[in-house]
Amino acid sequence: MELTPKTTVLVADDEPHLLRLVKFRLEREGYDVLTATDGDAALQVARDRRPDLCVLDVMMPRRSGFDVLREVRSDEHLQDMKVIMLTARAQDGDVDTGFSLGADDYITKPFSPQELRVRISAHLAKR
Amino acid sequence: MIVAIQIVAAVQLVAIAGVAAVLIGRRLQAARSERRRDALLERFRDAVIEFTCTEDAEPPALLRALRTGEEREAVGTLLTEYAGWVKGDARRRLTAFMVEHRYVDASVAELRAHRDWRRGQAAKTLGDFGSDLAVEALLRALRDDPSPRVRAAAGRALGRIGDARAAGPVLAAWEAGRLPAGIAAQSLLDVGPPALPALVGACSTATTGVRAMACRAIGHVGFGDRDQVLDLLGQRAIADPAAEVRGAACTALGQIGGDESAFVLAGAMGDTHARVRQAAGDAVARLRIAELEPLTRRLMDDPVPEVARAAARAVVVLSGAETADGNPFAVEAAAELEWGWA
Amino acid sequence: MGLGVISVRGFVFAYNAFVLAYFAAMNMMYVSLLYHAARAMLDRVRRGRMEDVDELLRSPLAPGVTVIVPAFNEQAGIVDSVRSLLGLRYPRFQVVVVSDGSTDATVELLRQAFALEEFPRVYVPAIPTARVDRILRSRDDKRLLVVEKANGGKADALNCGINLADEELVCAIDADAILDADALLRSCRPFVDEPELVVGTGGIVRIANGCRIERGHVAEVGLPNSRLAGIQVVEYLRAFLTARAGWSRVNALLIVSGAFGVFRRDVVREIGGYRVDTVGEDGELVVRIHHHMRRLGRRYRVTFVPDPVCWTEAPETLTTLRRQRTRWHRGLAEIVWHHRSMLCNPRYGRVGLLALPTMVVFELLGPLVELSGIFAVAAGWWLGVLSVPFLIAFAFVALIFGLFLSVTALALEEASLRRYPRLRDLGGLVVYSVIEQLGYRQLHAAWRVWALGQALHPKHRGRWGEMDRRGLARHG
Repeated sequence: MELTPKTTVLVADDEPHLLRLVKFRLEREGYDVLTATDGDAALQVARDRRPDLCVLDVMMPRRSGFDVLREVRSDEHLQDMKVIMLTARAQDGDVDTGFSLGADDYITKPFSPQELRVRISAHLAKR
Repeated sequence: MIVAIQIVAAVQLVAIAGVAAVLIGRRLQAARSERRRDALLERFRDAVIEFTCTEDAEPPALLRALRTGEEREAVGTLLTEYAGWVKGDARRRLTAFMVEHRYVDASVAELRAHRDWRRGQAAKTLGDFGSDLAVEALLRALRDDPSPRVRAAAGRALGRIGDARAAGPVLAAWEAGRLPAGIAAQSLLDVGPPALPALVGACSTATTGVRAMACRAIGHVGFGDRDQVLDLLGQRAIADPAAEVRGAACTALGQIGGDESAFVLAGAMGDTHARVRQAAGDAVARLRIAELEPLTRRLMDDPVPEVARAAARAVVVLSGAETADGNPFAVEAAAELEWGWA
Repeated sequence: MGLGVISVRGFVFAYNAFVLAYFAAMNMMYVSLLYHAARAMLDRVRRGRMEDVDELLRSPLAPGVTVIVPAFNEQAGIVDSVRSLLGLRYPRFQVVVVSDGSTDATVELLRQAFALEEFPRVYVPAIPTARVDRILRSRDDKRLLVVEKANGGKADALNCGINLADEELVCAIDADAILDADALLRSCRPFVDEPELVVGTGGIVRIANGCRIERGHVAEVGLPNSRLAGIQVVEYLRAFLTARAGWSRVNALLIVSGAFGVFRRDVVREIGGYRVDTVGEDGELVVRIHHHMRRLGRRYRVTFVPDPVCWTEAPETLTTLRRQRTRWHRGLAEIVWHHRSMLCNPRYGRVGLLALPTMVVFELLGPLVELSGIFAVAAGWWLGVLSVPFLIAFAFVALIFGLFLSVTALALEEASLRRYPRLRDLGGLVVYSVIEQLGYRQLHAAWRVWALGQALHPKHRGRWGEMDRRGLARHG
């Protein structure tokens, strides 16, 4: 079950308590989990640590998740990172925006922790 | 007279000093109790998180052996918080725990509290719990509670629980003006397809706002009996006396309709109200009804800019950017298409 | 000669009695306002327990909002502001930045940061505005639109934004103001709950000085070091937590702050947008909405949202503060003048019979009475017509009452919102409330009397608008 070398996942959400839930779930899968509570920090961590996958909230202070995604996709070192948007936004236009900016998946809150886990491992397997 | 004023002033001085003292005292006390509460929440948070994300988990021992009312309350707060973020299995697990440990019962009892804010809070909490055992009690609150705030909270909670039994009573409260439009519509929307008959019913009530909001909501719920719903929306889109309703019906058709809506939308494009023509244009763009292209093209010259813009978007979507032929709105729509936003 | 002295003494005494009565009436008015405000704030606390702010976030029924940012030479902070705006928690909104003839790098910086490109958007001036030169749109985020237009003043820039607004609600915000992440969620809620009734909402504006600001985002709330700004914190608290909360509860809210307000687009267009020939366009718009809706006999509501939504930088020098306050007071005079037909007119209900007269008697003319009162008291004491107990009583009614209002506002803040986390700050606010009554208040009255003089002076009357066309720049 232990993955070697450890796969790194970045989770960015402005809600610290939710962040802890996701972190807990993913750590139990054996991933190395990094966290950020705003868009700027998320981008910073992504650049410094180059995680394999990133779970991004859309509405975050300072820099929206879309904004982060855009920066990620235009950064040559980060282009291969998988990005899953995890967000409460209800408008269907958002899903389009997310995918057109290069998101790999889109999950809306409230979400099923099990589904999140399955999708993450599926995207990581695709690499 | 002057003595009286001096007395007033003295009383005021005392009042100021009193208020200031109470302020500081309360602040100190609040800070202490908040620290206590935070510590309690922290103590149980990990256990709740673990319970939330472990499939087929038994509740952790820590959560089953709560001693004080304070501990119980803290765990209740955490369960509610996490139940609001997750769905599916995880949510069912949390809900079952809350039923078993009588959190739901306690809140149901609170629905009869004397203070309205306590009743409202209980209603909200029950919505967060999401247990259908609370439906009957919430329906009672929706029907009988004297406070509009509590009724609103009950309406919202019923939507969040998503039980089909809520649809009829929510509609009734809405029509009677006992539940604000936005809350009622949201509640029915949350209930989803089972609420469709109620929304269909709402489309023929006397109040303009109710009809319009119901049409909007139907567009978001989708359809059960497709033909019936499209039929109804079509009727509203053309024949409703209020422009607001006709517009909302067109928008809803744009969301769930198809080619069979062409006839209705063609009619709506000739409506006297700009908002209806605009909604019809938007709908044509969404549904990509090719046979309406010529009509829509004519609408590009509409004197109202919003209508012309909607029409131009539709034309560009249907026939491509190159057919824009100089109409400024078509040029704009073509650019939108080119930038990838159509 | 003797008769003259007697009548002078008589007059001074009578005037003193008048001022005393005036203060007594004013205090009574404030107490009743306070009562309503306290009820409203209490209500808010309770409602907070029954409602979930985030609910609207998930709702497809949330109305769309166009956030309009008028900008004149705002290169210092514009990129951070816009980035912060685009990160607001709200499901459906667009941001329209209107560069009002900026001569600095405002637009250029935006262009680089957000990949702006010229966009062939059709501009239809439903409300006439100065010439629009270019409309740019972000390649990255379709929610961002930037307009370059010829200089026409803040109101003109706002009107341009309203012409371009695609969404059903419009929100006007100063380029240097900082919005709370939940600002739109909270201030749009009334539009969802009562879609047929609510036409405008405004929230609490707070002072950003002393708070830690990180890239267009309030990271930590605190009190300013500047004493002048500290006094203004108390002033703002009092104005928002008592006056606006109170007036809103009786449905006669006349002023929504220019730093942040949300309105229904169709209503704003219907009344022709912001007025360009006044210095108080934000306040004037709300009064005109009342005027319009009541004249037509329509049911409507302008609601105060008792939540802090917006943070703004307060002037820290006497000169800038004086300019700001004289401008505000002149704006007030203009509002009253433009809408004098509503004054005491039963057709306009509470607005005409209650809110507007109160505004005239206590807000507009208050400083005049206050200042002249100081002289009258001095003259009375000198002429020996006033006894010492009278003087003491007078000072108490005038000053202690002001203090009482401030402290009660603090109490309301403490009971409902509690945004100042440190106990030290709370103590500081009490001290500032005292300083405000001794010195600041009198100075403020003098400025406002001066503004009143300006407003009446024929030399200024015709040029009200032009004089403050550059008003926007001063904030920066």
